[in-house]
Amino acid sequence: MTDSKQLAARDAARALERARRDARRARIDIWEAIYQAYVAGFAIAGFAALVASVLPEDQVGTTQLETVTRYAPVALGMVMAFAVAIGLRSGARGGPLVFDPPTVHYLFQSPLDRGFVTRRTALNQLRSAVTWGLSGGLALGLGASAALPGGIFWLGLGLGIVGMLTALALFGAALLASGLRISMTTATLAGMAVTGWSGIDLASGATSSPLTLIGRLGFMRETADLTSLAGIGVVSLMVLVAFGTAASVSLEAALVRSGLVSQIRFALTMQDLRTVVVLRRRLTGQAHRPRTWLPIARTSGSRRPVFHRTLNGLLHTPPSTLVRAGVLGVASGVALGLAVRWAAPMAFLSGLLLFLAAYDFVEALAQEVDKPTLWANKPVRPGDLVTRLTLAGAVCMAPVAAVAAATAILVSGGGLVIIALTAIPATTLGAVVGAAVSTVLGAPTFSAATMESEMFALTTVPRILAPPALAALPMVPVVGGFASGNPAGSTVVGSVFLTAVFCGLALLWLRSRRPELS
Amino acid sequence: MSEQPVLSVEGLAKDYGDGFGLNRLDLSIDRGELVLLVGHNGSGKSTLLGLVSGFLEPTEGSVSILGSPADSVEARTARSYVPDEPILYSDLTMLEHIAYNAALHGTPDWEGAAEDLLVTFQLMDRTDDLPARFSRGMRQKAATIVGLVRPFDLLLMDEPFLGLDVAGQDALVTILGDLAGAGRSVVVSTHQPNLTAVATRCVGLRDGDMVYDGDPDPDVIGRIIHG
Repeated sequence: MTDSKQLAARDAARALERARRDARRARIDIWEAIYQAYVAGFAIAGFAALVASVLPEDQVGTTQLETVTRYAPVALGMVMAFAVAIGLRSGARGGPLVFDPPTVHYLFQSPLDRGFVTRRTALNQLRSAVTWGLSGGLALGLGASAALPGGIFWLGLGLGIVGMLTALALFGAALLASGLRISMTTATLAGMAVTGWSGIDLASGATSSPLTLIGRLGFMRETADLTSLAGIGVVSLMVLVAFGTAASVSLEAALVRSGLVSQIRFALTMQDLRTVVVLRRRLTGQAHRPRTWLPIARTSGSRRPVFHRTLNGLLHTPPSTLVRAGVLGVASGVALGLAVRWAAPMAFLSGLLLFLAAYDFVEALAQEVDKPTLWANKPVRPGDLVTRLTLAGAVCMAPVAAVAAATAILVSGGGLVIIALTAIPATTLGAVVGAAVSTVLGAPTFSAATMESEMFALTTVPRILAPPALAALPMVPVVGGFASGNPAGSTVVGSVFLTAVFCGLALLWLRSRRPELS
Repeated sequence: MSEQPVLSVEGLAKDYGDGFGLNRLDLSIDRGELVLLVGHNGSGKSTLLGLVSGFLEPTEGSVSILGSPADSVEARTARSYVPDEPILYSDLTMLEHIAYNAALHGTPDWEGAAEDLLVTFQLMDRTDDLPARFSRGMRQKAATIVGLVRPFDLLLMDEPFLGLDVAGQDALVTILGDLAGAGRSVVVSTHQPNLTAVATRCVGLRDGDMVYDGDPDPDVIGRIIHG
């Protein structure tokens, strides 16, 4: 009885899938498809050009080649290890499968074998992940082909396979963790073990981790041998076992994910960066703590209620937010430190990392923007409230700036004291103001979204670029200084000047904002 | 030997991390019972229905439907759940929703039952429209029809009267009474007063605890709801 019901349900699910696929195909516009292929090709070519720009223009010499063949496979293995660690943690939170809410509601409530639904969804998502991995690897090979031996074919093939296997490993690890319902602690420990193993390989120059064996495939002609097959075997086995456990994924987690992921997709479509960041954080289960980290007096009676409220909100942040702010501060400092030693444009990365950290420090402002009725009813000018919340966020972000500056000084070997102590605070201010602008801008209005695509691009591109540009601008004189060997003094003056002008203009714009009451 | 209960809940608890949404609840529902689930916001009604429907995972305790665990194929075959927020495909028409759900559950001769429900809920002229674009009340009607058209032993409905017009509310009350009369078990989370006329039992919840289990007395229900 139950078997016949399952077969009937399976037939119904397949029939619907076929009908929806046919409907999708019927809706495909050939010009739209050509345009999408063009955009994808452009993105791959852009990534390849970026890789080529950081590598030497001519073929590397024998000594450099030895270094590349010794360390690059281990580094690729390390990247894969991080992918596995990220996948395990994602799986512990219920990832990577995303079902649309009606699928969860109807298919998972039918007599259909749950594995039938989960495995089909997993296969579709895996196909997409592998395509992305393969494309990334191919682009990497294309970009590296001028500097490294092997030519486009062998480098493209090797790095394409590594990219594909990285995607497989990431997806397989996530599905396995989700199917086995492992806890976050177990996932973190397992991730640390995998990355630690690759770290030992990196430090010792040995090839013991299966992921390092796969890394050897990247430079196929120079480093690959039959032992790499063992690495492929391990990843394939993990994916197979993961598919075997897919029926046991948590329905509760799937429902939460399906709702949030559809919102993220919509926000991405609307180029709403702040919403994407906030929803992504919610997807990883980050909720505010009911109690503050430190005792804090009540806001009433405070002479600076706006600053007090901002600090109060920040003291409720979950541990992961604090860790993330610290990590982004360290990473920003490392990027600035490496900019002086390696590639000057790394200084821009330093600014962008602070920009990402700044979203947490404008949360109080975001709460007002999200609730325009409350914002409108405050007994202060709406624009004043925005600027005061922004500046309060910048003050609260000072510890992150201090971490970044200290790291930059350490990484540069003490040679960046003046620049770190001026450019990083300036960049922090730019980052917070940029995050505030991004938050206040929000998603494009419906009328903007329905414009002709050229008009939409004209209005949307500045919306996307302006906020991070405010964080990157203070680094322009720094990059120029590193590249031309200008003294730190003139670099600092330029950095502070640019920050004062552009942040001043942005703050004036923020001051003119009003709540949009519908 | 007494008949097996349609729904049996033992020591069922749900901890959301910031407190219990449901606190070690025991409940047994027999065939033909129409149970009103009442309580103020946050009392645990939707949590209980979510756990019984298998969408939520219990922290403690167990749920069995006709003797099978809540997430088993047997339980899914026996249970129909209509959530408080109508969930509908954006690319299927009203009729395609019904046909699909009926096919998933291997329902023979669903057309007649579907037509009766469509007429009752005044959606007969909207069968080829996309219900995802309907008004809130019409989407509620659509989700209700999709939930009713397949066979079930236990019907779970979370706030099914939300957004329904008066005619729709009256029709639903009649349908639920008829279902119970025909031996189906029905659990409805609602504050709808006129359902007390056809209900056979009332379960009251407050802060995750069961505070009442007895006759659907409007005075008692009022006291539970108003706290």
